[in-house]
Amino acid sequence: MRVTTSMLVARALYDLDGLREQYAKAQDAVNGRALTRPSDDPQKVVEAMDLSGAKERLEAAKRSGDDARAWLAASEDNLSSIISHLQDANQIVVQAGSPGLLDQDAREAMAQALDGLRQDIMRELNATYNSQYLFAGWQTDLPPFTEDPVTHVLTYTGTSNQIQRDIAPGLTIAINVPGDQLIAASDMVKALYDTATALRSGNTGYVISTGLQQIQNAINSLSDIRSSLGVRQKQVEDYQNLADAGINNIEERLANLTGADLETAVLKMTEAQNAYQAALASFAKSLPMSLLDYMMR
Amino acid sequence: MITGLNTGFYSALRAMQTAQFALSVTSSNIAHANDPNYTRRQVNQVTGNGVDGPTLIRLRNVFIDDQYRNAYGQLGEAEVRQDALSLVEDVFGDPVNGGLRTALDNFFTAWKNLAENPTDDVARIQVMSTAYTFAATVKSDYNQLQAIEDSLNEKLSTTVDQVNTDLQQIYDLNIRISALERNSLDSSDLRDQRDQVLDDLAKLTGAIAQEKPDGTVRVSVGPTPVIDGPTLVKLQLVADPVTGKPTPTWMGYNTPVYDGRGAVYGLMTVRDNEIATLKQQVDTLGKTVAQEVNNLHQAGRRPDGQLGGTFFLIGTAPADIIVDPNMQAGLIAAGSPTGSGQPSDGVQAKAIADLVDSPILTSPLIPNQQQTPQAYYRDMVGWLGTQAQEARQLQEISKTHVQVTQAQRQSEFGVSLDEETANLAIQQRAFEAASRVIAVMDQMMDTLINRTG
Repeated sequence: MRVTTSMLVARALYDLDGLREQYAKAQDAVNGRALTRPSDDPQKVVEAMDLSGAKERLEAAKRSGDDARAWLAASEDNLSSIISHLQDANQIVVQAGSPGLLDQDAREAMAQALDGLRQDIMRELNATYNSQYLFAGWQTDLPPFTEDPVTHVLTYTGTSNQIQRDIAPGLTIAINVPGDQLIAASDMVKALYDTATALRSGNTGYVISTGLQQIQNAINSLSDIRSSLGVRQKQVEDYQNLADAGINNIEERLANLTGADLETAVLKMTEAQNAYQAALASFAKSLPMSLLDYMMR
Repeated sequence: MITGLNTGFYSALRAMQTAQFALSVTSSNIAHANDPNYTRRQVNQVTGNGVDGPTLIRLRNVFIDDQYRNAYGQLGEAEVRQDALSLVEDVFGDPVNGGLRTALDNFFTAWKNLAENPTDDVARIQVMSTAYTFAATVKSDYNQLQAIEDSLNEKLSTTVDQVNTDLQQIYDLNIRISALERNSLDSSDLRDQRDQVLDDLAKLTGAIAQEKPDGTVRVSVGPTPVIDGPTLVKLQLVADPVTGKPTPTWMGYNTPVYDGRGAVYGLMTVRDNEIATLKQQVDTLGKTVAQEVNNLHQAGRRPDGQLGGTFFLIGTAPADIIVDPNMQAGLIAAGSPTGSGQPSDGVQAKAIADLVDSPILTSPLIPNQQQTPQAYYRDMVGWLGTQAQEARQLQEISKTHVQVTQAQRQSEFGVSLDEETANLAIQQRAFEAASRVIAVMDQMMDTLINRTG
């Protein structure tokens, strides 16, 4: 085939263009910018978008999980306090059964101790976390329990709604105990008042039969609720660990897709650079020769 | 009659003239060595003792020219598409971390946050600010696409003007070339010029040229003959009756719509296919999300117990969504429809946040399938990516094809300095030899005339 000088030049320039482009692409990969536009690799881009979305979902679930754990822990703490107060009351009422403590002063002292425990329980029922009432359902800005000063009956003014949190995509748990499920505790406030009154009036029979029974029933049902809170807390922890593992996997996969494998990228860039320099050198050597150089007379 | 000194003289004279002529041709070839559109000339040696002097041969191969123009036309189309589509890709930014996708995510994350902390003022302010960003991003993406469309229309207009200029030039050159050739004059330079304009026209329109016996060319763009003898048809931009977009059509009685390829076609396809689709999809995405949010928000309860108002104002113009100016952070309805404004009631806010996973949009790629907003956006960007990738690959293939055919053309009619230098030497020797012959003849005549008798 007949070859002219301009063909040689054109070919060389075209090749140099191609090598420069490869070099630039390799440089982009080294800088971790292999997927800067959708056309770089549409399938990888679509997958990367999906993974990114999934990762954000998991991170949001983790944050909700943290929130859930805090609420559940606070609720459980307060419930534990109520139970231990009731256990103290149990101790006192049991003592009322022994024959040596039947004098007025001793009974008065026990009644006052019961009063104190009653007020402690009342306080725990209106406990707050983060300036929100824990046991008020959705009405978290107002104290849920009010005591009637005459009848000493507790009325619940909160709602029965559960506050839900997404601890994993598609999985919600309730993080609170609405006050209407704590009837055992709220009834105890009235019951302890009755028991104290019975003690003061010397009605020990009532105290050691009905009073004691009520306390023990309350402790049992509240313990059930507390253990359900513990189960929920464990659930949240488990899902948070799963979320952590999931996030790690996704980050690894994303790094692969966006080309952050540094060693391969640097290797490719060095190869491209060498090829380009070799092409430049050969271009410089081969082109300027023509017959004119030899036919000067 | 014995051919002898007299005819010998004239042969030698003609040889010298031929050598001089050949030398001028060679010098002209060398002068244009770097001109890619110059066809090298060769001297056509005339045998025998006829009266005609040497003529020029212009070494051009029509087949290779056709191949080159074909490839060049494809390159023109692919280049225009690739340039425009890479601009369109820039509108959407980084596909994983940028633009509309992040705005959408942040908007729904803010609602989720509000659902979990309905009493938190910061969460409410966050919902407002992400809503503003979302609406602004939808609008800005749409406007940028529109801006690209406008600039493509401008480019289309300049390209159409260029096509018309080329057509006029070819028409004029046709007349001149046929006039010159009728009078047996050399038309090589004008033919070179015409070939160059034909190349340019091929890039813009994919035009095919066919030479006729009288030296003129018939030019066709697609099925339409635009230059044929005395006919010259030019291109114009006419607003399409349905879409209102400027469409190239051929001027004349029954104006057929432009049906060629090349850069003009490339510009039209990007505008009418990719950009139109993306504009419509951005608009649909923005308005559908806004409408669904509105529906839920209007059914929810505000902290004061009232029903929520409209959250977004949706206009009729494309991508016209803004946050309702009457909406404030304190008026966001996060509570459930049946609630009465209890502070920790975030049910409606959660329902709005869950829209991110709800199939509220119809997939444009798969018939009768509903998609979530994220999946819709992802498919939109994925489709754009494949179109842009295809355009880029086609451009690279066309570029290689052009380069190969250009090399072939140069091989046929390009000037090789080595060849011309060798020719110089040959012609110089031929000239010296011919003048030597004349000198010898002269001596012989001298002997004959002066020394005899």
